[in-house]
Amino acid sequence: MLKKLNRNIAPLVEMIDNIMFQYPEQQSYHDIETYVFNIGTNAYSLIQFIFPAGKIHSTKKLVADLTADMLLSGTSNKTSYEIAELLDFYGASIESHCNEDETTVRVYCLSRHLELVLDLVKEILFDAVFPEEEATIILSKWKQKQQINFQKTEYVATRLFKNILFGNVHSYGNLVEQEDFDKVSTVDVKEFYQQHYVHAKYKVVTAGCAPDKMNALLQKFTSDNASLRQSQIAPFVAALPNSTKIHSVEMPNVVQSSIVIGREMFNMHHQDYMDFYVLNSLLGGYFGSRLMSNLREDKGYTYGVHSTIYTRLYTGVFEISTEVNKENTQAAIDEIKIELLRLRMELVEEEELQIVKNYIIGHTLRGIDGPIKTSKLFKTLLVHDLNFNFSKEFENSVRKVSAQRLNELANQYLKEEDLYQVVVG
Amino acid sequence: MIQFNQFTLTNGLKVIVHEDDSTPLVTINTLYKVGTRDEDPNKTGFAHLFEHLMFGGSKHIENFDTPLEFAGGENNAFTTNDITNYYITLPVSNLETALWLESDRMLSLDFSQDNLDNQKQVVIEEFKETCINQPYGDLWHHLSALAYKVHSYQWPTIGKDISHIETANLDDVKQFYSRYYVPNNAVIVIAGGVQTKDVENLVHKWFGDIPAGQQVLRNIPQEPKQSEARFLEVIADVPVSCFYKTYAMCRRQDKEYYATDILSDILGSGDSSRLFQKLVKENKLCSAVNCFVTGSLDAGLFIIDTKLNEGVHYSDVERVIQSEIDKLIKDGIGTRELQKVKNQIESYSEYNDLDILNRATNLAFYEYMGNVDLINDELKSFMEISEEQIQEQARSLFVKEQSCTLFYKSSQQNHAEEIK
Repeated sequence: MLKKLNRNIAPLVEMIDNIMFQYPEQQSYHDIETYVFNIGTNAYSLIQFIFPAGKIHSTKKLVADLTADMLLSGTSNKTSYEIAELLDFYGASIESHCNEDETTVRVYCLSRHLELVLDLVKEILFDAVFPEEEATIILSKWKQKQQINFQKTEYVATRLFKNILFGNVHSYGNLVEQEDFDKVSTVDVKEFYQQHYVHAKYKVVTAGCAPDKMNALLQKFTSDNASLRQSQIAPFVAALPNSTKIHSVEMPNVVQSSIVIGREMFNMHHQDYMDFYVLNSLLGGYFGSRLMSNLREDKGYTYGVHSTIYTRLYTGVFEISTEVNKENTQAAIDEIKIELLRLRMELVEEEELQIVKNYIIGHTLRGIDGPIKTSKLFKTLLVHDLNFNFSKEFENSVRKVSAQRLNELANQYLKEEDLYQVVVG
Repeated sequence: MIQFNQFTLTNGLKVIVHEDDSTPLVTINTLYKVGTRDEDPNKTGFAHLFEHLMFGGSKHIENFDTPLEFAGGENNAFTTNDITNYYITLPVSNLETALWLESDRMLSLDFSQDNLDNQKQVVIEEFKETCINQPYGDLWHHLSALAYKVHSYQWPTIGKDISHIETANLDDVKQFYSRYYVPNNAVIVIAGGVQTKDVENLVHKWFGDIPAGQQVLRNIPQEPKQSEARFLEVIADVPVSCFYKTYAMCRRQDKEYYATDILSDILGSGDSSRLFQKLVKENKLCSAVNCFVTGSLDAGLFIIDTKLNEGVHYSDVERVIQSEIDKLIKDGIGTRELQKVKNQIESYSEYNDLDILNRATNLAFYEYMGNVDLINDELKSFMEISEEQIQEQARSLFVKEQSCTLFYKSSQQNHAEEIK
């Protein structure tokens, strides 16, 4: 017979006191750095190739994006259809993500098909031909997609916000316009490809396949590299932020406004990054955060509000964003300002601080659950020349950070006069 | 092979435990057998609104999220046509915190007017954000209403109309809760670095004294066989026209499901699929093509979804689709093409199983479908489908009288407005 339960008393919470980060095996084959994880069952593999081929590596808009997107569009020996058919036949998939700072090509497949798939990947990565016709199809699709995006307040707001922080010339701030889709040429793409793929020092992160087999495959994969050169980024200009802090764009026929508030910040290498991450989480980085509790749970102004610190190779961005009913726009902005001010005026209570710390520790654990998540996190660190030593240090600093320290950071970085604001709606 | 143990409490709560000692985390997935299909036509969007209310605190626990976050956990939920599914992931040492929270909201959710008013407002904002403030946001409202005339799948999960959410009152909410949120209408899966014995003790401790509810008897009017093709044209302020075609198909749990799903892959999943090659590559009529099946527990839909290039008339797209369908019916498919799709399905299934949350959610859903062993056996059913079965399925699926056509037409002339 069950004893009568006292449901008013929460079960004891026991937090993990030491997160185990599993490191990959590092090798260098023919000048290419490889990182091989040995986690979980070996049936399914993820191979990530990191190329120094991000948007910052090109002086011309869309060239890096188009190159990444066209890798599957044909090689000297195969048409785009033949490539697609082969990949589909092996049940493999390849995605390329052209980010600001790098392009990551991810190959997913059953480990038993890996050898055959890698032969094809090699052809795609180093012998692509970029047919004009395929470029036209992709560009018209992108152009159409942007037309659709221009009707979304969120897209218009985040885009404008980037531009305001960095200016028109800076790689992180210059915007793609409709006419830009007509200006890219495959000549530029081919040149970019030679420099930033064929002759580039790429890096490889793998997970899934048994390490012995994986290492042998990687050795073979890199064995006949072209001559490798260091990739250059396009000349980097200083950010030229807009002189006006507050911007708004009217859009007819929309029922909600998008609000973005924030500023240029720093990246993971900065001494304040780890502690600021905790401050950001407290403000708007998780469901129980102050912004979410206030704007969503208390006022019902929005379905969601988030604050984030984005980290880039050369800088970072702090950004609060939300969508609210048009009539509530000003009220929502006021509440956001109140929450920012509270962080500067009051010390956070120990209890709330402990919640956010435990949440972040749990979140970190979830971020390394299984081979796919672990190797993806490691890849992000690698782009920034970091590894799991950073994650360990991060874990320790989260456990240590004090209310006093968060208050100092809020006063240093979250002054109202330093923040930019965009409203679209 | 996914191993699991299962047991049922005397109150009818079905419990499945999946042990995986490779993770320091545990996932608690609670599925309630209630979804959009169970809604009253005048109170649509209710299952989803209720999902929001489940986070408003319960009798013994004022706030759901705070204790969970304190235990290092994260949680979310989703509502579909058929189910409402809640999941929590947290360090395995804190499993009991999750069971305490989950059991208390099953036993005694706290209904307050304030919480209801607030969550109504949040859902109304969600409605606006996803259905009104987005181009094509009302697409599913049109498509569902076109394809279903009788069955409650005729409105989307968010609801037919905002007014249904606005007028929801506490009595409705309480009634819904006592009818559907009972242990005998739920499946709970606990997956991760746990031992079944320990889980069993904890589940008995926290869920054992929750009283069973009345058995949920469903009497959802089923969609009669469609006898005439339907067509709808919608004109909207969107930059690109879209064209949709649907065919009435079987239920997720029927044996025809496998061949039907394979057909959707053959026609429109991936860059080597037939419709992608014809419509996007060869004829350049479309910028995107996608085929998929809804896989619902009552009769579902096979959907072809295309985005038209500028200046293209939909009748040209329709003609190409029809000729590809005719070809499938007449010539069937080749050995390699079928093998290709099977390889894709196998690969996707392996990938999906890497994530413990997916495993937990699937175990719960298969249990609701009536056979939890499908988690391991279903792949075999796909692999056994023959070329002849595919052709046969194409013949019975692609019937003009059981199709719907939706042309979602752009009212904009050439290009979208430029925003400076």
